[in-house]
Formats: sequence, C-alpha cells, structure tokens
Amino acid sequence: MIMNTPIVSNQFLIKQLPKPTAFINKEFKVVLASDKWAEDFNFKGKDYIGKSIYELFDEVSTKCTNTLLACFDGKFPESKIDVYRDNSSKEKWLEWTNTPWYDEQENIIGAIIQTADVTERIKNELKTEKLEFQLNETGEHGKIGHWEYQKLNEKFSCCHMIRRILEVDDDFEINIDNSVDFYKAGYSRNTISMAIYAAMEKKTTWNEKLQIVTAKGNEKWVNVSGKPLYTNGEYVGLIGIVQDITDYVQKEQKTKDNEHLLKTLINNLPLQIYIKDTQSKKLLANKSELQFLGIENENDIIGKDDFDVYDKATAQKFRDEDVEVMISQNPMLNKELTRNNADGSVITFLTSKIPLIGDNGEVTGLVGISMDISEQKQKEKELKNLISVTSSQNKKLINFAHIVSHNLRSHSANFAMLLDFLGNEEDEKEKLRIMDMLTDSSKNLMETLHNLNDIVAINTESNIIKKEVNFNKKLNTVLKQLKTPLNKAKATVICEISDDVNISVVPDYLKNILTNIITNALKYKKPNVDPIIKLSVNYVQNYTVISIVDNGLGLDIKKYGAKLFGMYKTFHGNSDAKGLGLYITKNQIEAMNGKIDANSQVGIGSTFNLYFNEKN
Amino acid sequence: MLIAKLVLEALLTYTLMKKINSIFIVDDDPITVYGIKKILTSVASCDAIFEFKNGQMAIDRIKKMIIEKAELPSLIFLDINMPIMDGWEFLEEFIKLPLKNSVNINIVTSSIDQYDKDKAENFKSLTHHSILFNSKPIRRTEIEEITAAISV
Repeated sequence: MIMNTPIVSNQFLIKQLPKPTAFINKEFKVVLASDKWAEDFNFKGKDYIGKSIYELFDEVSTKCTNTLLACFDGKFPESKIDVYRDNSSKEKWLEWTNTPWYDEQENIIGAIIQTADVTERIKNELKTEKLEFQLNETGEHGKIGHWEYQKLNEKFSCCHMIRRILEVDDDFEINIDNSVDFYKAGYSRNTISMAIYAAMEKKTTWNEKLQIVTAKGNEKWVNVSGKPLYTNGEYVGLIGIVQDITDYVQKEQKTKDNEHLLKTLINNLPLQIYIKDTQSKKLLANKSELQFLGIENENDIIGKDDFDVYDKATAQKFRDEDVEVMISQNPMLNKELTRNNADGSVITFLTSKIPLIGDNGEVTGLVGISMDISEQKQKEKELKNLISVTSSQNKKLINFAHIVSHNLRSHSANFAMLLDFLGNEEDEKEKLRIMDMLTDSSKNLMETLHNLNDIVAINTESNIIKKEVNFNKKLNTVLKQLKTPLNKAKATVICEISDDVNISVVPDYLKNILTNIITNALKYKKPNVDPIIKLSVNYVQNYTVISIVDNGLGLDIKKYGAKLFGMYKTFHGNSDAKGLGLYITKNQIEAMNGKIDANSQVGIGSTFNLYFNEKN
Repeated sequence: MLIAKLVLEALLTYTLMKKINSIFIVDDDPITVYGIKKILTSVASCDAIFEFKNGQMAIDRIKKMIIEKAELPSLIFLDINMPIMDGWEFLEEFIKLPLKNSVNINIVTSSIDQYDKDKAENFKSLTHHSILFNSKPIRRTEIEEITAAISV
C-alpha cells in the first residue's frame, strides 16, 4: 500500500521536523511522520507507519474526519484546538493544523497534519481571563480603580472605575499632574505629592487614606496605594489603585458617633448599668456602677463576676437571679433589694435584669440596671411618719372639737331651760333657786372655758423649750405643795430614784404631771388603808421612764383603759372628779415627745409609767 | 263656794293630769334633773321619781327590783355622758334584762351628733323597749307628749 503512495525522497528530513507532523493518505493511513509526532502521541518504537488513524487513536471525532475530507478536497480548514488525553490521562491542549498534501503534479494525495502543544497558552489565557474577571468584579464591588503611568511617553491610563470615583466624563483627559489636583488641598494633596515623588526618587511604595474632591465637587474618602515600576533598574513609571471608601468611612464614623453617644448616655445616667455574659462575668460597667463598687478603672472589673466583688451569700443570690433570667428569658423588673452595710446603714436598690438575646435566639448575657433608692425610701418613711402624726393630730382635734361643742351645748341647754322656767315662775322662792342654779351654771361654763383654754395652750405651744432638771428636786417641790392633803390622808411617799437623775422636760409640765398623779392616788385611795406612793426610774430605748405605783382602789383596765386618759371621763363617782387631770397630763407629756401608760387592778392599785423623751 | 271651786279644780286637775307609776331619771347633772322633775310634776302625776347619778346605780336598782318582783318604772330619762357607766353601757345592760313589758326610754343628751342618733336607732332595732332620742334642753311639750303616750 505504501508503494502506491509517492514517496518523498528526503523522507529522513520529514522525520527530523521539529514540529509534530504526520502525512495521511486518502485512506487515512499514516504515510510519514516526524519523530516528534510519534513521541508526542506515544508511538515511538511502535509500528505506526501504514496504519490508519482510526487504528492508532482510540477516538477520532467526526469533526476531525470532516476536516481531513475537506483537505482531500483541496480546502484549507482553520486550525482547531482540542483537548487530548494520552494513556496517563494527562490533559493536553493541542492545536491541529490540517492542509492538503500535493504530489509533484499538484494532485492531492492526502493531508498533512501538524499539531502544536498549546496547553501553556490555553492555561495562561484562562488565568488571564479569570484575573481580569476578578479584577473587574473586585473593582466594581469594592469601588477599586487602577491606573498606570508610563514615563517614556508620559502616558497616563486608568480604568473606568477611576473615572467614576473622580466623577469625570469618559473624554476627560487625566494625566499625572491633574490627577494630584483631585486630592483635597492640604494634608491629602501634600501626602500624595510626597508619595509620588518618593516613589520616583527612592523606589518607595505608598498606602494612604486620603480625601479627594470630585469633578462635581463631592468630597470622598479614598484608600490609595501604588508603587514605582522599574526595568533593568531604571524607573519607567508608576502603577496604583484608588479605592472609594467614603461609605465605609461614613459608616465607621456613624458607628463611632453612636458608640460615643451611647457611652456618654450610659455613663451619665444616674443608674448603675452593667452587662454580664452567660457566666455572669462583667462585659461592661458604667461610671455609676464603678463608683458604687469603688473601682476607678473599668478594666479592673471587666471579666470579673460578683464573687470577686461581694460576699459569698450576696454573690450567690445575684448569680441565682442571673441564671433565672437567662434561662427563662424573662426580664426581672424593678425588684427591691436591700443590703446591710458594715456601718449598720441599709441601702435599698431597685434592680432590673434583662436578658440579652442574640440573632439566633440564644441568650448571650444580660443587662443589669440598678438604682439606689435609699434616699427615697427614707423620705417615704418620713412621709409615712408625718402622715401618721398628722392623722393622729387630726383625730385629736376632731375629738377636741367634739368635746368642746358637747360641753358648751350642755351649759347653754341648761341656760335655756332655766331662763324658760324663770320667765314662767311666779313663786319668789323658786325664782331665787333658779337664779342660784343659773349662777352655778355660769361658773361651770367659765371653768370649762378655762380648762379648754389650758388644753389648747398645751397643744398649740409651738416652741416647747425643754430644760434639764433634777427629778428629785422637782418632786420635793411638788410634795411640799401637797403637804396638807398628804398629811391628811396619812400618805407615805417612797422615792427610789437617786438624786443624780436628771430629765429633760418643760419644768411646769413636770410639776403639773406629778401633782396630778399624786393627787389622784390620794383621791382614789382605799377607804381604810393609808396610801403608799412609790416612785422608781427605768431606762427604755430613748426614754427615761418614771413609774408611780399606788395601793389605791385601782380600776378595771380592760373596761376603762381606753377612756382613762380621755376628756371628761371619771370612773369612781367622786363628786370632785372632773375628768380633766389625766387628759391634761397626757397632753403635756405628749407635747414633750413622751408618752404615758397605766396598769391597774381593782383592789390592788394603779401604776402610771411616764416616758420622758431625752431627745428634743 | 270657795271649797266647791277648789274641789272642782282638784277634780279637774286629776282628770287632766296623767297618772304614771315610777319614773327614773339617770343623769349626773343636777340642773337637768331639776328641770325634768319640774316639768314632769306640772304635766303628769306620778307615784315616785327616782334619781341616779350614773348608769351603774340605775341598773343595780332595776336588777334589785326584778328580784323583788317590784313594779318597774315605765319611763326612764337617760343621759349619755356619765361617769362609771354611761348611757350606752346602761342600754347594753338593760336590753339584756328579761323584761316582758316595754319600758319607755328617753335619751336626753346635749349631743346633736348624728353618730349618737344612729347609735340610738341601732339600740331601738335591737329591743322591744321604746327608745327616743332628745337633745337638751328638754321642752315642756316634749315631756307632755312622752307622758301622754304612756299614761293609762
């Protein structure tokens, strides 16, 4: 078969061709091939001459057959690039060039196939394409533009993004000089000028955050970097990139502003604020919280928990609350907590703990807000006391008004009745009798008014001036004045109070109080028993307590206790009982911020306890 | 003639004046007691008027009368403010006594307080005795009405 094909005499020349080349006759059989071709397709040392390409290659595409057929027809098909896998299945990119094969008579006798390994080229093309794509996309998304300056022809070129950043039209001509003018006068322009100069002269690179003013007059923040280019050590130009970071800078600034605002707010709120992580370790503490804990620097508390700051019991209580809030994800709001200080003072807090919940719905920690409400608590207490005092005063006042109206009415009723009788009476003797009664009534009315006036005086005395007096001295004065009734009753007074006891009182009030109680003891003595009156002293809290015990009639304290110190209450049916003495006593001792109580048993006697307040 | 006139007057007075058995006055104010007595004697005739300075003395006497099966007073004038046992305490004790006949109790007080009036009303609702609240000064007309209501 080979004999049928004209053989080229310089067959060995073909064998030595540096390019892989094969001559195929019209029966698709290899007639001649260069050694390089055999090598490339692993036919070296094998018998491949005279074999059909369909025998030699596992796969021959229809496209390939058509290309060869076209060559047989005298056409010159375009070169094709195809991937080829050899036995080791290594990928190779090959460029196939097929041309018709003519004999000396210009007859087509087959086709010449030449292949070139273009794997490198293809790979580089792919790489370039990828890089270009990446550059474009990165530029587009990151607002990054790039430029290049060639010193030789003073050519300045840049990508589209640079124009967008500078806000210039496509036909605006940018050169190395006017590009610098876009930088904001002052720091930015100086910096870029120095950087370019240094790059040219000292081969340095640059990377700066600067401001530009665009062609439309907008200010923008840009990140610029660049480097000089050298060929054989000689400076040939510059390349650089410009990134528009205005949005980023603005966002960053906004975040900073917000953070600053928040920080200022948190630090100046009159509330203690902290943030804890899930382990109850502090992540943040504001000024008030630091002040409260007595810590100067926030860093000294960050990362610490309550066990580092409070006693164990308190810390455990707080930790339990934290865990409860974080597990339930329900905030604990306005819980009142008290803490006892070492100096005995009590601090009251209003505390809230709010769970911090992350994007995924999991708790990341909690925010705590505490307010020291000790002062308010104290005020509230004072207010309550004041209300209690006021309401008791009010009650007293109503009671007093009631008594006054009742007493005045009873006298005026008597007047009305007696005058009515007098007008209709004809009997002269009876007239005189009625006149006597009117006189008595009038006297009683005067006395009542006098008494009421005394009581009003005690209760309205705005500046009660208390003085330190020696108790026994005062007692002796009273006893001296009561000498006659004491002797008449054959009374014994036993004073168990030592001579150095002083009490702070209004002297006149004390005198009146003692006189009253001792006189009562004489008035209500047992008919056949000589009265014994015993005085003693005791100290209870802020009070000096003087107790006066008698062995008189006594009274049923269950029945009369509530009325004992009431106005116009008498209990024994004595005609000289007015029901005023103990009422006035009570008023006087209360006016001195003291109090009075009594114990009594029928047939045994009575005890009166006088509580003198040592404070003003 | 004169005698006849006197007899006639006496007869007339007798028929006009109401006849009441014993009356209690419980009040510690002698003037009020005097006044009530003076009016009473002029509008009604009565076997006996008893005075008590406080509720305790009155209730003790009534208890004694019950034991002795004596006729109880049909009319009591009662003051409120009194020592030892006041008018309210007297009423509390009195309505507990096992009495079949109704007794007329007239509270005579210088109080015009609604609270006291309500308290009297409350007692009225608790007992079959008749309880009346009068403010001082007590008038002749009032006592006439009271006596007219109870005389036989």
